[in-house]
Amino acid sequence: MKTYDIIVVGAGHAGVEACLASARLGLQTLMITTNLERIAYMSCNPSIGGLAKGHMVREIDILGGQMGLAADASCIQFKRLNSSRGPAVRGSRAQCDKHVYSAFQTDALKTQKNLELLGAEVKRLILVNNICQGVVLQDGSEVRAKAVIITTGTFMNGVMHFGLKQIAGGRIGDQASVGLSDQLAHFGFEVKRLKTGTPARLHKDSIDWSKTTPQYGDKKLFPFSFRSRREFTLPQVPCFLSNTTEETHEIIRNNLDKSPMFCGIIEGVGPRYCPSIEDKITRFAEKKTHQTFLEPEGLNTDLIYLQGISTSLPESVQDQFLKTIPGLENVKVVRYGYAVEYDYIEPTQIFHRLETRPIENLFLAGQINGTSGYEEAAAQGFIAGVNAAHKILGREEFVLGRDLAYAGVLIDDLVTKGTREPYRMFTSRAEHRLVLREDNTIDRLSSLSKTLGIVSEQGLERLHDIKDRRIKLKSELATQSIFPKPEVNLQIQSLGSSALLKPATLEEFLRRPEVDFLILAQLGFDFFEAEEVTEAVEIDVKYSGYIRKQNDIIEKTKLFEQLMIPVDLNYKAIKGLSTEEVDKLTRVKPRTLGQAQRISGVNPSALQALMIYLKSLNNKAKGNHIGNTE
Amino acid sequence: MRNRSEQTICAISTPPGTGGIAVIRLSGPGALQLAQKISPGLLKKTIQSHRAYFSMIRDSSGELLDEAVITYFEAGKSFTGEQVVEISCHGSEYISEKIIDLLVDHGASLAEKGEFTFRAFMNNRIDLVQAESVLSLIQSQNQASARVAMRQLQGHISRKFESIESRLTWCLAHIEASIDFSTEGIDVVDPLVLLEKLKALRQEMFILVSSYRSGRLIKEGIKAVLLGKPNVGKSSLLNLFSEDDKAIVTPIAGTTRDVIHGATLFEGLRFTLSDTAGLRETRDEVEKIGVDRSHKEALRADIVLYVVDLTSIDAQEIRQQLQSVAGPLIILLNKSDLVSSPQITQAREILQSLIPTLEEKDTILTSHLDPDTRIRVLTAVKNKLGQMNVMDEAVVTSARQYEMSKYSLDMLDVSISELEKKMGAEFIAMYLKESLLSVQRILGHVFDDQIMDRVFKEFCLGK
Repeated sequence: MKTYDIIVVGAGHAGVEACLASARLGLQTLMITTNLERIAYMSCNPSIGGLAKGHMVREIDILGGQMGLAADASCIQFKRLNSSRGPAVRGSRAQCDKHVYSAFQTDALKTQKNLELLGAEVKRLILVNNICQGVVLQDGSEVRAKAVIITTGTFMNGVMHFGLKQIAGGRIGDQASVGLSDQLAHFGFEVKRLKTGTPARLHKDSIDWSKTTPQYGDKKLFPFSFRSRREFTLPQVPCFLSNTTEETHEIIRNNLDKSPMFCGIIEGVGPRYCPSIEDKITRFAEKKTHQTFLEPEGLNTDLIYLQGISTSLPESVQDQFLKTIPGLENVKVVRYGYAVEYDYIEPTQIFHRLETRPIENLFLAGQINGTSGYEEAAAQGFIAGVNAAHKILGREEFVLGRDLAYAGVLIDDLVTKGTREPYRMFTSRAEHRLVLREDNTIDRLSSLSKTLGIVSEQGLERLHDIKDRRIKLKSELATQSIFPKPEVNLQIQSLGSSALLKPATLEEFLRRPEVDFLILAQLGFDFFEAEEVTEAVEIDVKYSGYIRKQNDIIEKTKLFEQLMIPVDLNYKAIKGLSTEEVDKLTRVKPRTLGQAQRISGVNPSALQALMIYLKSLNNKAKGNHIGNTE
Repeated sequence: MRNRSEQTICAISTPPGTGGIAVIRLSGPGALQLAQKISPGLLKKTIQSHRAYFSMIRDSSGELLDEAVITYFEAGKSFTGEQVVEISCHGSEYISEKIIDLLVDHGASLAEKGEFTFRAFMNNRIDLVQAESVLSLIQSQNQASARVAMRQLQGHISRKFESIESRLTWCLAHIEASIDFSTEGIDVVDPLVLLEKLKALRQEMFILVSSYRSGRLIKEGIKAVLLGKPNVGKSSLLNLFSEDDKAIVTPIAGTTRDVIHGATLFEGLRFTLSDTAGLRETRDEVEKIGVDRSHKEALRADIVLYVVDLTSIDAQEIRQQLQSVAGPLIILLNKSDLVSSPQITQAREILQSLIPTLEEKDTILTSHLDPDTRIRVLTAVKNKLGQMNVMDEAVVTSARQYEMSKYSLDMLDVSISELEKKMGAEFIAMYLKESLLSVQRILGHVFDDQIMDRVFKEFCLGK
């Protein structure tokens, strides 16, 4: 059989990004999946984005990722969340037609140069001296490659729970992937269990829509991809709001003994931030109702996704409680909700480049690393694809800093802290939150994108054009002034702002909360710029005080990020560390004191001991006196 | 080279000089073994923790050096958390230094400044605030400061900061949740409830920050300076207050040329008083320097005691001299035994017209012949500097704690004003996080590379 540069195992959201990134960097890539009909399939909710998640979609898009394009092309409802809040915590979300989404991605893979697809199950890895050299398929045949990326999602030893009934599988209609995680566990990897769940899918004709409240999306699309046009491709549809009742809760409470989560059958830890309805009712016992959105899974499908009501109760109980939700009195369930339990690899066992520490040329991305969410998966898939390619090409590893991208925060968190529950991205995880915004993704990442070389010449030109126009606009604002002439002040007041007392630069003037580019234009300062240029500039100007404060705060911790820790440091030699701290530090092998600080369970006094040790190493290197209180 | 914390350190823990006994302290994994090396007799005994053993100290050749009492504290049950041995030997400098030499010969290292306390901190025996209080306790020169330090060592103020830390964390968590779960229909915190909680926290923090001045006065004592024109009787008063006769008293104006210090303990507080050269225009070069120093001394003081001679009041001169005084001021109407009561009333009226804000309790009649003068003045100073009876409350005494509490308070104030202005939650969260971090730094709950410099460098050897 043919030898490849890179094999990607899995065709979910991580797998798609991984194999496209690798193929687009010119490497001969093979994607292997058990089901070629379900490429980039949305196994759970039919939407892309959300707070912090939408940020990541945009980040990998600038670098040459794929998810944003598919989300834009399949969008049937678009919303900018938190639009009333500050700019840093606004996030885009698109409801997608899941069939259009999947078809779009399948097409992208099939037409991609350097990429082949294969429908087969991977049973194990070919390992020679701790180096991964390919995979063995179910039929025993071997496929050789220089690097392998595993993106098997919830499929590794996946078990589905419908009440107390269990079926092996990673998703309805798909088989579990057995063998791989056992091999990794046997090799010495720490393999653990996680759990996730999905709600029932309902037939749209069985719903009494009059009892629900329609929820419409935004009129304007702010596309995820800089390559998409700023207009909708598909017709836009509403979602519908309903809610659980006390009756619903009563039924669920009476049947908790039939939930595998509650009677201890499921050992895996569930997502705390995306709880099942059983969980919600138990944890928030005082709440009499929980909201649910009825979301169409597409334009040409009868299926309705019941957002917020994921469950693993038996079918009969689901039938019973669903009917107590207004609008669902006569509901016909097409597919019942269920829980999935699966294996994941404790992510402290991988490097920032997503290559595993114990096995060279083996990369892991997506839910296998303990994350939840399509976007988290895609971001890792992209980074793994790039790094596998870079490794083969002999290029430097590609690691995004925490100050540069949410994708960087995601991976640093995973490999530093590990995770005990499905990891979901939040804006609060980013200490650089005020500068990690959706609107300035281009400013943050376009130079890097050029170095990376996945985005086309034409695309790069566009990125740099936007970035340059923003810089130009900012400098014009800083140099042009507005003067307190009586007629100007009259106009300012008529536009709802207060009169100027002394001349101000336009930048200073724009800092007034009520002033925007529209008002500037009315005062005779029209820059004739598109929103894609003005929005980011306006936010930068308006919030510069806060951004400066944040930068000051971060500057203080920079020192820790610059104090490098030798990779081969023997932590056992540093006294003052507990056994647990030695274990954690030895496993994570932090690159800097800053990263060591982020490892949970490593106490301040341990860091103190570590710092003293590092300083004494440095002093020794300089030939200085080794002192404790130096 | 072995890691520092694996080494056993030693130092003389009693002050330098000759005393009845000297105590040598050893801490580290080899403490007991080292003690046995210099006192082979111990090898024959079963050594128990917290027991004292009478033993012979012998040098390398086996010659008897001293008789000593050796006390052993096992690891986990000692101040540093490590194995500790204390050797009480005879208090000759020669002997104690000889024992240190012996210990070093056998492999002990000389302790650095504050290293015993530092090890206690590193081994989680005490938190940072407690470490600082060890220093305060050692340095305390009066009852009040010893009591405050002891309370700190017992964790009184730590608990206060910890309580603030946990409530700030609650507020921050809820603000973060209001951002990240804004679309999930989960009830997060009501902004008004949050505001109320933050304001309550602010108040507590404010009290802690304000306690620093009294905390510092308790710890370092009150610095009072006697100021006034020549020959009004400043030196006599200094001698009276300090119950000493340090200052030379003559009827000649300009006798005091340099600053003279006296000290006294009063109601548990330490007072440092300084007598200064009388303020006047002078051609005498030496006296001129003295007058300059008087002004400088006044700037450094916690309070100025301005002395007026009741027998010769010059309103113009007083006005001029008081111009340079900022901060707390008490006026001593001296030589009260030489004047009549209408004269006193008149003097008070003159002063009142010069300083409209002057209250009656700020002017005190004094005479070096009146035995109650000392008590009257020192009580007035204590009252003037306020809240000195805070010993039962948490008091911030170190500059480090003060600066960090102050920063925490400032950040808390900004977050409250941002919240009131209805600014974005992400901005409020940023300031609140800074406020919280500062509290955690005070306690040493987060890593801070300033710790070494700020906390442990002030220690002497052997602590």
